Amino acid sequence: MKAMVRRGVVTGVIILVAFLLQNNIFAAIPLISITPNLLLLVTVTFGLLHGRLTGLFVGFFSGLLADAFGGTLLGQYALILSVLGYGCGFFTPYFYLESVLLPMGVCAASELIYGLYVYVFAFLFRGRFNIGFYFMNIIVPETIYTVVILVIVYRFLVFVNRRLEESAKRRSADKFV
Amino acid sequence: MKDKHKKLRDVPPRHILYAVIVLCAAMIGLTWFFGSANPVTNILAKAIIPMQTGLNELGSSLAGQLENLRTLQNAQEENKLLQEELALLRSENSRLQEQSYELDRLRDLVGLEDAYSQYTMTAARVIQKDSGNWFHSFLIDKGTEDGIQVGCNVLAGGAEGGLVGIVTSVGDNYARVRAIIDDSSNVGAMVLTDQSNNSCVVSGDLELLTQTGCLSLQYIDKGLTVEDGAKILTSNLSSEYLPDILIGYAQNVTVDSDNLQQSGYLVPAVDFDDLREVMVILDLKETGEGLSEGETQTSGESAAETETSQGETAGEGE
Repeated sequence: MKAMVRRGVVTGVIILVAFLLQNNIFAAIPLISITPNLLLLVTVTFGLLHGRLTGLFVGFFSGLLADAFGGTLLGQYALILSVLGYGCGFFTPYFYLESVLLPMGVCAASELIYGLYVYVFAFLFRGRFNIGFYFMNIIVPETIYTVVILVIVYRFLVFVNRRLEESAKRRSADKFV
Repeated sequence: MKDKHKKLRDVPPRHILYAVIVLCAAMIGLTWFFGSANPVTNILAKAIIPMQTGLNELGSSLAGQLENLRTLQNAQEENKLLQEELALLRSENSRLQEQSYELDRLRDLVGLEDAYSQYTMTAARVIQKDSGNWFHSFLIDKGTEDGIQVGCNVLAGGAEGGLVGIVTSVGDNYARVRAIIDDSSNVGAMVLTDQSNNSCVVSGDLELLTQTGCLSLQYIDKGLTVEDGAKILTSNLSSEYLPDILIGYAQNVTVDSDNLQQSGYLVPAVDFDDLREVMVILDLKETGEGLSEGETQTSGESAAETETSQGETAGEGE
């Protein structure tokens, strides 16, 4: 139970850090006109590492945070991120910690779906039909950027995860001794 | 409570997914109908806004350092050009000052006060730019506690000030501002000229913004001659924006292919890349009807529509 609380707190902190980085550091740098989607990255990684349910909840809370401070409607990002996190959980059995290729592929696919979702609901419905433009200038750069960041922070997230699992094991082992 | 936990384990993940989807849909529905001033944001804001205020300074200074390096190279060239421009402007300034005295005198006669000084304003810091790349809105560190309401106009301070945007939602200690460069922004505007048929509409357009850094300027009367660099101000006709606030400068105004109206680009007066402090006008535009609090969520869209239709009618009536 303690390990679960611990994991919850660490996960919450990671989500919060991702959110603050995305909105306050990356967004403040005008030279980089496209910002990576760190919340999606965290959701995808957790979904891959821990399966559908964790992906679902991490996605939901990440999305809720993004909604609270970024969306026009509460729930729009929570919806897409929880579905994506859940979807990523299906790849958990095929996933090895050492290889970064599967996370890259899953992350890119999730980004594309996410981008299309935002485009359809926020732009297409208002009569902006030039999907090619939005795809090449916003969705694709954001995807590339997020995947690059994934490669960089992936080791870190895996490391944190391993530490958490080890400490959880140690604790349960202590109990029996 | 413990029973629930045990049961939760037995529920298939699929069902939890459905539950979350339904929950999200319900939230979307609720905020759609009842406006965005939701308690969740307000509670979260209490904890997160202070963190952001600190972090944002870090981000801004980091950005500042990078910007410094980059601009140093261009600075010398620019300096030369600016010197020349300065000389020109000085002569123009003295001429305008003369006219300004005259204007003051005439205004006194007519009984009009100076346009801006009558508004109560408050300064606020930008603490968060929007996440993602689709939208252009940001949070400022003041809210209802400082008298900010939905619909307040936001300007950039300083001499090169101009219209930045409008407050779309507000909490106790923060307010959300939609910038005029946002894709869904429409501002009823007018070209500064002595002709009377001078109304137009300034719309944000993500496509145009990415390609040229400009906004779109539409529904200009065909008979009006608009030169490059003509000042575009907010219009009296606008239902949301106070009149006579500088928005930017016209560029490339040409007759549309349908030969009914003119359109072009608008170069914004405000540098949106480097926006750290803004001024919020606490007075709201008086429309006669008054915005009731229930309407605040949809006010952005509905007003945008009315402004667009205003522009159309103004443009079509030759």
